[in-house]
Amino acid sequence: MFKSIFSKSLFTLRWQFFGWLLAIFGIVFFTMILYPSFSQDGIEGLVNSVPPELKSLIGEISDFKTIPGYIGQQIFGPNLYIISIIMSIMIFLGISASEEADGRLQTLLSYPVSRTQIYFHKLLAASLIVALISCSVFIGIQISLLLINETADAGKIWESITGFTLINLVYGIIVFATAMLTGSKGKTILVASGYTVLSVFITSLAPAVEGLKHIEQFSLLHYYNNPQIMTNGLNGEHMLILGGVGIVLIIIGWLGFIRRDVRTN
Amino acid sequence: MSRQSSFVLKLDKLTKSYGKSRGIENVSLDIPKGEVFGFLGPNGAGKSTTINIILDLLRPTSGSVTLFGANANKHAASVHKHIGYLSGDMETDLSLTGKQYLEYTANLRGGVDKKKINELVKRLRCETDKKIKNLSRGNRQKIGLVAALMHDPDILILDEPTSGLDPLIQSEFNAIIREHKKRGKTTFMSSHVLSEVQEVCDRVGFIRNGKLVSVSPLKALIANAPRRVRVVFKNDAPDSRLKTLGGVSDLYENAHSREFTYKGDYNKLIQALVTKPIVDLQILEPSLDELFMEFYRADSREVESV
Repeated sequence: MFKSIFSKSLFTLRWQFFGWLLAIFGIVFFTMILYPSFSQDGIEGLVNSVPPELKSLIGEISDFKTIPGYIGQQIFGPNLYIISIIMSIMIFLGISASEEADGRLQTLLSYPVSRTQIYFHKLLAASLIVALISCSVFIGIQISLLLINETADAGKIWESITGFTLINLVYGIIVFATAMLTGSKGKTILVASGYTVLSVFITSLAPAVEGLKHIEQFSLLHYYNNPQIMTNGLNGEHMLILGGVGIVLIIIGWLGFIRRDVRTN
Repeated sequence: MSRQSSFVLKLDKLTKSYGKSRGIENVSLDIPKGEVFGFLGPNGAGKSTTINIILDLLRPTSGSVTLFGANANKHAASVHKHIGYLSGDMETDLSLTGKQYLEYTANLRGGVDKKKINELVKRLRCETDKKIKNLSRGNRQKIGLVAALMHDPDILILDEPTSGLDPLIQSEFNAIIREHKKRGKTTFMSSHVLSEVQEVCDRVGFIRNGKLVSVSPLKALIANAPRRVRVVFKNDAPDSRLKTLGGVSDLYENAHSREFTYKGDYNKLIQALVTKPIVDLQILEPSLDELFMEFYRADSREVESV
């Protein structure tokens, strides 16, 4: 477990991994087993009473009446991704800015390891943890589908999970790149939380608010599950945009980290 | 071997500016192989900034650091193979046990003989089975010391290394530094424990306001330093002669005894003193603490004059 920075980082993240795994699995499982209740008659009145500005948050009637619609909106929609993005931010923050703030990074840098090695080992470890937690959604869906006697296209679920993993990773990478570029926990939290709140706000309200439509493309959430992957499949162009943004941020963070001063007391 | 390569560590006009706040300015220093060098100065003088540049945590504004012939900032990872580093406030993953931490650091170094690690653990009486968060500061330092020494580094870089260590372990630490030197290895240490510096260092450098103001062999520094003189006279003291004698400062008068600091020709001092019958005379070698305080007082005076 202590062979490399990568494996040590996995060890450091172990409790976060188990905690978030249980949390995400739990949310998916309990949301899914409630499907029979939501799909019954009576939900229409409730859904129709919601103002159009908030429809993107809870979905349309069809999102409660069919399994693909329900999974696409209630599992891969805002209910879960807001939580999973917070998870990703915390995991990437813990392994980057927090370690520099308390001096652990400085101790590590006194050993014969390069900054590039540190950067990519940590990035890889946090990415693996976030990806594994994101993939646990599949198990949650499958177990609950068995319990409620329903079926869904496993291929479409995996496509949705690919998009879900990618959006979680990109928000985590925003944190990681900012932390490694600035070395400041405060600035990182400001940038990450500021951008996340803004992008959730813009993406949720853009369909109903005309003024937000022209800035919607600056929110990365615009490129996730839009339209729903469960019914329409993965949008390759959107995935390329998310992947491209992630790669560009990784390069910026890396170039910044290998050039800057590390914070010292 | 060229003259340049005989130096293990070479700081060349090293400058670090932090905008308006002070860093270090034009610090040049050569540390030859086998030397134990003490780097002294008050808090905020620039000791840690210098060490952090050597370790490539900070990048110099200008100047360079050469370690074993390589630029320490451009080739940090390869240069660090030769370094053992310990700071006074070593920070690491507190959830690891001492054993896990030492295993991890040994792996970061590409593998270290476990026998050597166990020897050090035993010698420093480290508690390696407990989680680091449950260890006292002194015991954490001991783990850090083992991590710094496990690979028998060519140079030890120590920043206030013995803070929190009890006197027994401090003494063991000093013995380790001396053995390290005997093996032809080099040590660069900053410390506030001046008695420890006096005990192990060959040369010391004083840094003040970011500038290296003095570098001298410790013995020469002490030999050339002003002495504290205590004289007890049988009756009256030759005050008028003492007050006019050049090199006398900090004169305290107490009944028949006089105490003062003297730097000058001892023949003239004796001539001045023997004009009155003497009961007791002591000329004391200064401690490093006194020399340090002398530099520090000069620093304060400079600040006051500004």
